[in-house]
Amino acid sequence: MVVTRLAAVLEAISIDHAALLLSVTASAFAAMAAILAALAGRLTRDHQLTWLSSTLVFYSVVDVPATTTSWLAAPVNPVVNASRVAACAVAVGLLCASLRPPVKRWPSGRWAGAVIGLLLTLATGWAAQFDAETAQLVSSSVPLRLSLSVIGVVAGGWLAVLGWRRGGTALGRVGLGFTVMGLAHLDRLAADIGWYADPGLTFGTVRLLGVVLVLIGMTQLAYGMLRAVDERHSDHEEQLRLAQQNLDRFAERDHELRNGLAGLAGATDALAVLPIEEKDALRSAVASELARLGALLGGASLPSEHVEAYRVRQVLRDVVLLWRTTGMEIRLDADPGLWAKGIPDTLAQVVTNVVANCARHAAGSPVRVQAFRCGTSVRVRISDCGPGLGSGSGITSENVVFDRRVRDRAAGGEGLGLYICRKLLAADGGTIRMLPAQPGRPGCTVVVELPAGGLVLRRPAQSAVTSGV
Amino acid sequence: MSHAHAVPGGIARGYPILVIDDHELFSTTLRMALCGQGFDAHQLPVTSIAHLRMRISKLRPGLAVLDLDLGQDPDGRWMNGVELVEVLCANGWKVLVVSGSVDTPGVAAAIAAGALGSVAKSASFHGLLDVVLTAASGEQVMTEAEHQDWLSRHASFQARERELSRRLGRLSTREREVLLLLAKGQRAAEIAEFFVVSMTTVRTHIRSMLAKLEVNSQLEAVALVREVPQW
Repeated sequence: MVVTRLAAVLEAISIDHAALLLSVTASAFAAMAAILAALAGRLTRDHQLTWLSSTLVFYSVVDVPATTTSWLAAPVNPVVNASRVAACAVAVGLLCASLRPPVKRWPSGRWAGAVIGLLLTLATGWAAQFDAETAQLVSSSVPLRLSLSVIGVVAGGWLAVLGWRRGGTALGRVGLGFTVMGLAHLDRLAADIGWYADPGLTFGTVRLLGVVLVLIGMTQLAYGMLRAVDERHSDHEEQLRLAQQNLDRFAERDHELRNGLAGLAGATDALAVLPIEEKDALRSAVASELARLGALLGGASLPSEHVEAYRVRQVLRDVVLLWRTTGMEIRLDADPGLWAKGIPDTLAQVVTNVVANCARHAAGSPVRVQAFRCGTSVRVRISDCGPGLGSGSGITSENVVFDRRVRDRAAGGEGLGLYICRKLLAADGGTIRMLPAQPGRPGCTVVVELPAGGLVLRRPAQSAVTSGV
Repeated sequence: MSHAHAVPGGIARGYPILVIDDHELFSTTLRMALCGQGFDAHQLPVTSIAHLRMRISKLRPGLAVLDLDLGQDPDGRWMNGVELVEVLCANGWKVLVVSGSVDTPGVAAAIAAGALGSVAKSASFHGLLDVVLTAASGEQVMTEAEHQDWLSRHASFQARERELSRRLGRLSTREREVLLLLAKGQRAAEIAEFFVVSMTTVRTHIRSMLAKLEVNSQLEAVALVREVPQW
């Protein structure tokens, strides 16, 4: 069928030109496939592809020219024929090697196969000139050529099966291409023996078809691998970006912490020379700074090593005495046997802030501080007889006063005192709230609740916990 | 008091100094130190830019010590001290900026807007205090050459920012969103999930975004976003 159709073409163009064109195209396509295979092999460190690339290079540079020369230019030259058969043998050998690449023996032998093959071909051609008769006999030996072609076909089929087993149609297509190339040589052998009238273009066309199949398969492989590499690249880039962003975040935090330390150092300097009422402002500022630094370190409050029980009355007495020296009328009612759990400084700070608020918002009013036990907690009440909350201050809810920056604009203050109080108390497990105003009772009442403590509590050591088993 | 230095330049006691900084410890310590030196120093609580403008216009002008990074306002927007420099100068204030971080473009912008000079928060407290005292006494805190240098730096920062804004303007809406999420530290997979698209789509967005921004990596793209703060 094919032959009869080709007959029409044969009349139109010179068969030699057409055959040459087919050969050159096959050689060029094989070279392209070789480059793609080398690229894909390099990208994935797949030795099989490297060896296939080596095979294709050899096929393109040595095998196709040798076959074409013997076919078109010098069909009976023993040197050329010997070289052609040697080239075919090397190509088949390389193809077989790429089925199971000898990685151990030639770990870096990318082009070694092709180079050795080239030398072998040249040596065979060179040797052939000494005994032309034997050379001609061997190179036209049908069993030799037949077995070479059959091995080529089988190796190609094997490669196709390997490819399909691995789940990729691309490598399968490459294997199929090699099979078709082997079949082309078989076809030519048949023509040489005399089964066909004209061997002509059938061989060249079928061979080109095989090479095109290989090229398509290699293009698919290379494209898929480039995509995989691209994805991996963007993954790496992402990891790099995330790492850098983390580093930046840490650098910013370091910077903030350093600023905070510098501020605390400045505050320590200032402590030495400040009058009492300024000390309170500074103390509040230091507390808020510590809270800020704590928040920077992942929101964890600073480790409180001084979890202890303390006498509530002593702490309150110190604060009340301090305020009394400023001329305030302030009274303390507290049970001397009252113990609370936590940091005594917290209570001192909180009561100081609340009383300072009384002094600011209810100037001149007497202030009363009471402390008593209430269940498992200690309750401290601070009340004044001032205007209370809501009358003209613009603040209506008893809860919002503990938020940051909520304050009475007319009376001043920075709106931080009560906010800090709540944060400090929360660290000790305490609470602070403001009682709603009642018609019969003027003024403002703040209630602080602390966990009660009757005995000295220490955190159990880690070893004690585990050894108790 | 033994700690009080002689006020340089023979400034009258009671010269008003205003400390505008959201960092409470810093402003408190500085205010106290300045009060100790005999100045009429105040802190201005930082709430919002509008509120600060209003307060500033009502005060007797003097020296303002202004932080460039004022934190977030109640609506969560970052307040930039540079915005206040012009208002302060227009009201007759002298402005000394304090930069918490190495915010060179911010300092350049503040100086271009009329600030006397800048001092780094990371400097020692005494060094910082010295600069504030120098500024309060009416002396120069930087030489004319330094001033010119800052102005030319500001010009080059602005040119750079314009160039970057131009590049950022090329992005499509989706590319812009992807870039912002990347800048926030999100992974491509998270972004794909967020927009309910495939990873391939997100990768395509990222690739075209990088090409439009004329950068080679996500790292550079994210750094570029940080260079254009108002974007």
